[in-house]
Amino acid sequence: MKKYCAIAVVLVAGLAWLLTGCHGQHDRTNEEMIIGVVGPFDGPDAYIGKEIMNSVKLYFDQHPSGGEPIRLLPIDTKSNPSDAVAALQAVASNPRLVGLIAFYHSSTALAGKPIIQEAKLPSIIYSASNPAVTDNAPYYFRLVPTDDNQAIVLADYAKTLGAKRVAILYYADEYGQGLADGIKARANADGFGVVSIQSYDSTTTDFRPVLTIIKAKNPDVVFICGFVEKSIAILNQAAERGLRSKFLAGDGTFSEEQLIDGAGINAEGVYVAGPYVFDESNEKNKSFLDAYWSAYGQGGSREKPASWTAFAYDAAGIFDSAFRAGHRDRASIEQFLKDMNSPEKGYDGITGRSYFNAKGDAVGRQFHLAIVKNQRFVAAQ
Amino acid sequence: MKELLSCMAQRQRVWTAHLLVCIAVLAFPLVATRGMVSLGFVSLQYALFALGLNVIVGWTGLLDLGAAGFVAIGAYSTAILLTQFGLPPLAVLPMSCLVGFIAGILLGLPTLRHRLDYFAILTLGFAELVALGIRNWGPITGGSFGYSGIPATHLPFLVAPLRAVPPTGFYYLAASMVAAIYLFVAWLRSTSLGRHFHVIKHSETVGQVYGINIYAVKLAAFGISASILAAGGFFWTIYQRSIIWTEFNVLLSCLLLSLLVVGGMGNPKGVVLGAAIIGSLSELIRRFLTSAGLPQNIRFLIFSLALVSFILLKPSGLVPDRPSWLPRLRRRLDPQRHPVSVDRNVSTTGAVLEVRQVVKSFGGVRALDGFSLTVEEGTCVALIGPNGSGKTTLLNLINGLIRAEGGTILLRGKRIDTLAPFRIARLGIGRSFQDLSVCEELTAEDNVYLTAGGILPAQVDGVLRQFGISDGHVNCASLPYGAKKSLDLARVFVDPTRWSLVLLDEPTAGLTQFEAMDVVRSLAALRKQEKLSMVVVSHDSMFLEALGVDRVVVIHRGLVYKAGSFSTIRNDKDVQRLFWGDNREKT
Amino acid sequence: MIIDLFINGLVQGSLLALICIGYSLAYGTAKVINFAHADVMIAGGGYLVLLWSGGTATPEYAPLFMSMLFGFAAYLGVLTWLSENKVLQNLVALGIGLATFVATFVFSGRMPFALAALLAIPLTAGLAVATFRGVYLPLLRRDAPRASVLLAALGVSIALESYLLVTWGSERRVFAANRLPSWMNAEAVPEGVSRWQAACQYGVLPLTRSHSIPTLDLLIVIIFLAVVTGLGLFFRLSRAADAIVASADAPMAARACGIPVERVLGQAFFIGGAIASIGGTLYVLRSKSLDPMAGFSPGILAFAACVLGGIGSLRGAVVGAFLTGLITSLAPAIPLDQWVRACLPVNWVEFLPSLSLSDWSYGVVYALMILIILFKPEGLFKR
Repeated sequence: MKKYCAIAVVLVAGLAWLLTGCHGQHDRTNEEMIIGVVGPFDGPDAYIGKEIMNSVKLYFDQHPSGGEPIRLLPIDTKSNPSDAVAALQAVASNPRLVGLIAFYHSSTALAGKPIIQEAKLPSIIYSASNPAVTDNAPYYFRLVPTDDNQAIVLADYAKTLGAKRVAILYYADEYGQGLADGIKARANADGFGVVSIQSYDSTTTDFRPVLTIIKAKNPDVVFICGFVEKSIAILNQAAERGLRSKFLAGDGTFSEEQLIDGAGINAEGVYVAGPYVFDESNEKNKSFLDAYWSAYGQGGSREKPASWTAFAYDAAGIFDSAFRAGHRDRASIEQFLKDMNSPEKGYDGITGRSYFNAKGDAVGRQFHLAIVKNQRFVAAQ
Repeated sequence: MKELLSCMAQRQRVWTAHLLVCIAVLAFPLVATRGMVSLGFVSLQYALFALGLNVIVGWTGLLDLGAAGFVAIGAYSTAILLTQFGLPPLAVLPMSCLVGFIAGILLGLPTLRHRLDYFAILTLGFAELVALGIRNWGPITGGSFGYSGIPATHLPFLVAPLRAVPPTGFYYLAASMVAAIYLFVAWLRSTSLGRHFHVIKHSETVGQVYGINIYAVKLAAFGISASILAAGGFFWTIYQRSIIWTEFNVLLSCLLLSLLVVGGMGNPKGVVLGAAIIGSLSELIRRFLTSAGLPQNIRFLIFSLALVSFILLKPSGLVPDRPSWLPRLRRRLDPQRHPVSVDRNVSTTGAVLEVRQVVKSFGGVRALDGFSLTVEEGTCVALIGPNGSGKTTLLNLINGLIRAEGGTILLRGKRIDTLAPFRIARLGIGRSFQDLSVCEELTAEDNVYLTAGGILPAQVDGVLRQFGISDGHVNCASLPYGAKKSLDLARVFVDPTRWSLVLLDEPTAGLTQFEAMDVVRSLAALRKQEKLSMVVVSHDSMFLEALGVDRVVVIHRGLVYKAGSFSTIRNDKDVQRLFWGDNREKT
Repeated sequence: MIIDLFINGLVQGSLLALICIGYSLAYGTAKVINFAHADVMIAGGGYLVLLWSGGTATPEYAPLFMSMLFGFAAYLGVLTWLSENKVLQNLVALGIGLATFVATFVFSGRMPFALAALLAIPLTAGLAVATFRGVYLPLLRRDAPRASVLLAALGVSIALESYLLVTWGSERRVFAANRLPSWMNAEAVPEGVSRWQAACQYGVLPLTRSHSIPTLDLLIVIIFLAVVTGLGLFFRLSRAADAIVASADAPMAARACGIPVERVLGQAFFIGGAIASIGGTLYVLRSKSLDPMAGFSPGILAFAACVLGGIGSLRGAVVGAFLTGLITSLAPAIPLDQWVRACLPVNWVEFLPSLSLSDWSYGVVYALMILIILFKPEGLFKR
C-alpha cells in the first residue's frame, strides 16, 4: 500500500513539475508588454469575453506596433466577483502587465477595485456601468456611460410611454440593484409609481411566481435590470403568464443575437437600452464591422457583435496611442490617461471622441434605447 | 544505510519520517517554481478542510454532507470581523473557529439524534439554508453582492503584507496552520474522547452500555469538525479577498468528501495525502485546461468519478486507517480513574433489580406482557424460554436501549427505566451481547482498551487469558467465533468493580464445550470474588448448572411461566413440554 | 393572482411527483436515496432535445458524448430485462447498446418529436438502471455501510451533472423558441381568438376572462394523471409489481421463493427511470433550456416532498410532491416582510435578513423538510 502511495505522489509531483515548470511565470521575452483583457470567458456570458477579445485582437492585428510585441492576456472573471478577484490577484504583480481592458459586470469591477488600485494598474472599462465603480478609483477609466444616466433614460422613456404604474425586476448584484434604485429615485419626477420591486439571482430559473405577483399589480411597464440569459426566461415566462405590460430592459439585455434567438416572438416590442448602437452608415463603424466579420464572422453571418466590442476596440486604440507616445510602464500610462481630460486631448475612435473627467468617466456619453421590431434592434423614437 | 535503518526502533523511524516531511514542506518554496508553490498552497488548504471533516466523517462515522455551510460561516465571520471591526487577522482566526464551533453545536443539537440517512439530508438542507441565509442577509453579509474589499493580510511580525503572489507568504501560513491542526487532531485521537469517537463509529449500542454519552460525544465531534472547517474558511477569505454565497454549495461539500474518500478516511496522514493529491491534481488540470482552451467543467467530472470509483473499489482510501493511535492511548490511561459511579447501596428490599409489570410491544406483537422479575443481591438468575419469548427484549429494556410502554424497573429501589442508557450503565449495569459486537479491525487487546475506563495492562492480559484468548495481539477478524464471543465477556469483566449487576445474553451460544468450560470457570470465580449479581439468558443447561444459578425463571409469551430453583425447573414436566413438545422427555 | 399561483403550483407538483415516484421506488426497494435520479431526468430531457432538434445551443461534441452515455445505458437497460450471466444475452445487450450509440450519433437533430420521445423513455430508464447496476448494486451486495452508499449516490449525481456540464458546455443553453411547435410556446393571445386556436397557435388556453393556463402546463397535468393511473394499474395487476414489493419488503424470503431479487430491483429502477424520463422531457420543454445543474434543486425538493409524504410510500410521494409544488408557488405571495416591518421598530428592521419569501425560494421547502424530519420523520403516509 505504501508503494502505491509513493508512486501516486511521485506521479503527481512529476506532472506538477512538468506542467508548472514549463508554464513558468517567466515571460518569453523581457521586452514584451502585456495587456490584460478582463471579462467572462466561462459561464452564461462567455460570448462577451470572446467577442471582446476578438475586437481587441483585431485592433492590434490591424495596427502592428513596429517595436515590442504586445501580448493579450485573457483574465477570466467567470461572471463572478470572487473568481474575478482570484484571477486578478494571480497576475497583478507581473511587471510586464501594463494595463487592463476590463470588466463586463459591474460587480466584478467593484470587487477587483482594491486589487487594481493597490497594484496601480491602469484599466480602461468597456462595460461596467455602475456609478460607484469609479468612486475613489484613480486607476479606473471608463468609456461607457454610467447607470445614473441609464436609469434616467429608461425612466424618462417610460414617462413618454404614459406609464403610471411600473414594476421593477432586478438582478441582485450591484448593477441590477443600482439601476433599480436609480429608476425608483426618478419615479416622482417622471410621474409614475412603483407598484412592485422583485429581485432574482443567478440561480433563479423559475420566474413564474414572481411574474404572477407582478401581473396581479397590473403595471403598465416592467423594467428588467439584469443580464440577457435571465431576461430571455423572464420574457418567455411572462408571455406564459399573460403579462401584457411593456418591457424596458437595461443594457445587460442589449445583445441582439442572444435575445432574439432565445425569446423569439416574445421579444417583439421590448425596449432595450444600450451604450452604443452600431450604425452601418457611419464610416468607422462600417469598416470595423467589415473587418470583424471577415476575421471572425462564421459562415458569412452578419450578426453584429455586442456593442461593448466597440468600446473595447477604442480602449485598445487608447493603449496603443499611449505606447506609441513612449509610455511603457504603469505609472506613465496612468498619467497619459489622466491627461486625456479635454476634447483636444481625447482619442478619436469608433465610438466618437473619448476623454475623461476628473472621476475617470468618459464625458458626453449617453445610453440609447432600441426596440425589437421584426426580430431586429431598431432605434426607438 | 539499510543496517542503520533496521537498527533504529520503529518509533524513531516514525519520528524521522515526520521530520523529513516537515523539512520538505518548509524548504519546498525555496526550490520550486512559483507555479508549484501555489500548487502546494492549494494542497495545504485542502488538507486543512480534510482534517476537519475527518473528525466527524472519518472518526465518528457520521456523514456530514453540509461541510460547505461551515466553511461559509467561517469565511463570512472572518470577512465581517476583518472589515467591520478592523481586527488583526491573528485575532480573527480563533474567533471564527469559535463561531464555527458554536454553529456546529447548534446544528448538531437537533440533528444528531437521527439516523444516518436523515442526518445526512439534514446537514445538506442546513448547508443550503446557510448559503441562502447569507444571500439574504444583505446588511450584514453583503447579500448577493458577495463580500469584497477584504484588506490585505498583515501579520504583526512581518513588515510587508502577505501578498497572494508570490504565494510564499500564504504558503507558510497555511503550512503552520496545517501543522498545528494536525498535531491537535493527533492529540485528540489519543484522548479518551478520541476513543469514544471510535466506539460510536463501531457501534453506538456498545458505547451506550459502557457508559459513553453518545449524544454529547457526537456533539463534540461535530463542533470540533465545524471549527476546523471554519478555520479553513478563514483561510479562504484572507487569500481570496472576495467571497460570494454561490461558492459554498454542494459541489464544494462533495469535493471535500472526495478528499477523505480518496485519501483514506480516518487516518490523518491519509487524509492529508488525499488532500494533497486531489488538490494538486485539481490545480494541474485547471491549468492544463486553461492553456488548452478546454472548459473547466471537466474537473468536476474527474473528481466526482474519482469519488465514486474509490467508494466502489477502494473504500478505505489510499492510506487506510490503522489504529496505531491505540498504543498511545494505552500509555495515557490513568489506572486510578473510574468514570463510573457505581451505586452499591443496599435497597430496602434487599433486591438489586426489580422489574415490575413491564409491557413492550413491537408493531402489534406483545413481546412482554406485564413481566415481573426480582433479582436479589449477589444472586444469579437464569432466564430461559423458547425463541421469541422476549428475553433479549427484557435485557434491552433494563439497559435502557429501548423504552417500556408500561411498568417500571428499579435498581436498588430507584427507578431507572426513564434514564438514558449511558446513565444506567454508569450506575453499574453491565451487558454482554448475543450477537458479535466486537470491533473486527482492532486486536483483542485493543477491543478491551476501547471500552475500558482506567485499567492496567496486567489486568488486560489476565482477563484475556481467563476467557481463553491466548494471544491478545491478533486481529479480531482472524479469531474463531468462540473467541470473539468470549472477548465480549472479557471486555465486561476486565474491571469487575465497575459493575454491580451484569446482564449476559447467551454467553455460550456458538461456543465449543471447552470454550464454554473456560467461560464457566471464569464467571463462577468472578461471582464469588466480586459478589456480582447476574441475569443470564441461556439455552445451555449444562452451562447454567455449572455456573450454579440460584434461580431459574421461565418466560413464555412475555410472562413468567414458572420460576424456581435450577433442579425444580429442570425436572418440571410443563417446562419440558414447552421446550420440546409432547412425547419427548429430557433424559 | 392566487388562482394563477395555485395552478402553477399544481403543475410544479405534477412535475415533482414524476420525480418523486422514482425516488420512492429507489428508496423503498434498494434503501438508497438516489440523488442521481433528478439528474437522470435532466439527461433524458436533454437526450430528447438532442434527437429531435439537434439543439442549436449544444456544442459540436455533444452528440458524441450523449451517444456514449445512452449507448451504455441501453446496454445495461437491456440486461435488466433479460437474465444475467448468459453470454448470448450479453451479446444481444451489447449489440443494442452499440446500435443506440450509432443511431443517436447519426440521427441527432433529425428525428420527429414523437419518435424521439418514444425512444428517450426506455433509454433514460436504462440510464437509471445503469446507475443502479454500476454503483448501488455492488455496494448492496457487499453490505457496505450506509455512509458509503449515500456518498456514492451523491458522487453519481455530481458525476452525471458534470458529464452534462461538459457535454453541453456552460454557455447559454436556451434553445431557440422558434423551433418548438407553436402550441408549446406561450405568446400573447390577441383578442377575439377562439379557445382552441389560442391553445394550438398561441400556446395558452384561456380559462376565464382573467385566468389562463399555458397549453404545455395543461398537458403536463394530463400526462401526470395518465402516468399515475397507469402505475396504479400496474401495481394492482402485474406480477412484476408483486415481485418488486416482495423484494423490497423481504429480500431474503423473496430470494428463497426464486425471485431474482437483483434483477427485480433493477426493474424497479427501470420503471422509476422511465417515469423520470417523461418528467424530464416535460421539465426541459417547460423551462426551454438545457441546464445541467437543473437536476440539483428538483432533486432535493423531490426528496423533501417524499419526506413530507412519507418515504417509501408511493401515495405519500405524490401527495408530498403536490404539497411542495404548491408551497413553492404560493409562498412568494405571502408578504411576510411587510408584516414584520409593520410590527418591529425601524432600527431593528435594518439588521434583519430579507424576509421576502421569493428571495428564499427553495429555502422555504428546505426549512419545511428539516422541520418534518425533526418532528415527524414518518411523514404523512406510511408504507
